[in-house]
Amino acid sequence: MTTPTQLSQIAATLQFTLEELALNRAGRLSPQQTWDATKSALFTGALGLVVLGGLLVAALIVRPAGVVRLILYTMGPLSLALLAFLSWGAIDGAIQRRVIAVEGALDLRSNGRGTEVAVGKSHVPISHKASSVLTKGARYRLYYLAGADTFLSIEPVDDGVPGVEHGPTR
Amino acid sequence: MPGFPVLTTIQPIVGVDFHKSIPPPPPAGPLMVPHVVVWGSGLSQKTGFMWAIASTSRASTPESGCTKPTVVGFGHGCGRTHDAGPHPGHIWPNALLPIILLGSSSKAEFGSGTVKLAIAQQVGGVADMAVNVAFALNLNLDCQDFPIPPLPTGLSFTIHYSVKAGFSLADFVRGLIQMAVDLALTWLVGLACAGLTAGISGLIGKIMGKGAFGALASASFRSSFSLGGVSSAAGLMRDGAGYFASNGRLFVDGWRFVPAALATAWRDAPADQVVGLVGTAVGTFGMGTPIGYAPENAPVGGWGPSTLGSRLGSIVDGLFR
Repeated sequence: MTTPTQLSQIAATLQFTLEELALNRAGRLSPQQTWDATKSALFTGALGLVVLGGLLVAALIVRPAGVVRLILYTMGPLSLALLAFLSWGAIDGAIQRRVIAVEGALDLRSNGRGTEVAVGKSHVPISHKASSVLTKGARYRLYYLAGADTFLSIEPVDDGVPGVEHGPTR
Repeated sequence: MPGFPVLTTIQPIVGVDFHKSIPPPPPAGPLMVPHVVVWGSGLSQKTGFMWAIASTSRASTPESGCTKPTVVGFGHGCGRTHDAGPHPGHIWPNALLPIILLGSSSKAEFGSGTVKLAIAQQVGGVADMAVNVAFALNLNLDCQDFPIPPLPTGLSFTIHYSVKAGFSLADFVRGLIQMAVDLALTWLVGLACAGLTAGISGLIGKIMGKGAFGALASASFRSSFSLGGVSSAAGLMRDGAGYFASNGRLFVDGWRFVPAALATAWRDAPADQVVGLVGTAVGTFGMGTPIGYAPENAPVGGWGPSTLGSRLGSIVDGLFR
């Protein structure tokens, strides 16, 4: 049974508000979440452009030879492809602003760099503080931004309990 | 599915990393020189060295904050992407060692998809058990100075053969992809910092009246791609190895020359080399790299939820679940 206080604690720890949760239930983003998505898209896109510029300058002006050229022509396309892939997801997420809701048993684990939350087949990075407020194996509804795969909000699922509403899921 | 020996905290690491070195001082240096690396897989975490626990350790040890440590033989198990850095194990007479130490890394990228172990909550709580990819040893992704990307030049030798974990072809491919991703992200941070260094150097040079912004920035950017010293260093190593073996004076003489080299560098270093140190700090603490230490919310290599490293980690991990 989840009390409104527990839900507030989850929200405060994972840095979303109950108003944002209500909006996410309705499939919408709050102005702050929209700005965060836009910021992420702008940063990734800008970084991609900086790297592209750097590579062009390196290839056309510096014109390295030997091993450095080999490094440049190997690492350059690999880095750009990686950034293009991330930028595509971030820009897609910022433009579409589509909230995905998934429901199921929760798992928290390392993703190789930080912590990720997994519900069903969906998994997105989350603050490491999640382990202090979420219970592994318990049922939760996770909201995240499609494309960018960034965490928006989460709530426990216990039907019929006052203080926990259920919105539409996609 | 074959079983591979699991990676433990007591494994010794030896390798060779290329970093810029003073001596020689400017104008000849700093040169890219191979540094001998000697360290232990869990030594930084065990000793609480610098910030090793905060962002790099996936060791299942009490020192790393793991409440249910996994004992393997005489050591503890490690999770996939465990990083032995930051570490002071670069052995070379080099005045820049404190700066190299900030970004030092030796990361184990391969792990079992089926065997899990507990790690500290702050890095996920549960991770895939790391394995020694070459059975008798693991090829750790080691730090190198730009323009050389991080390379698997850290040889971490398997100590305890009795515990093995399943390691499939998919796990191997996942490790390779993780390695390529970490390598590319680190390199692009290096490229961005080289650009930043060039811009600031051009600006400072212009203000000081040393020339036009474009020419100074271009010269600085060009110098970032210099591998000056690699071939001469190779020769030095060839001669030096013999020299060292015969009378052991190379490192001693090198260290003796450090104060004089630093004094020369202080007097004669061009602006871009000084600014380059700022670039290194920006790379490590500002943008962060997925190898070595990075603050939690550093936008590229941090371990917080909104960083590129963390997003890519989830994507790579998700490919094989």
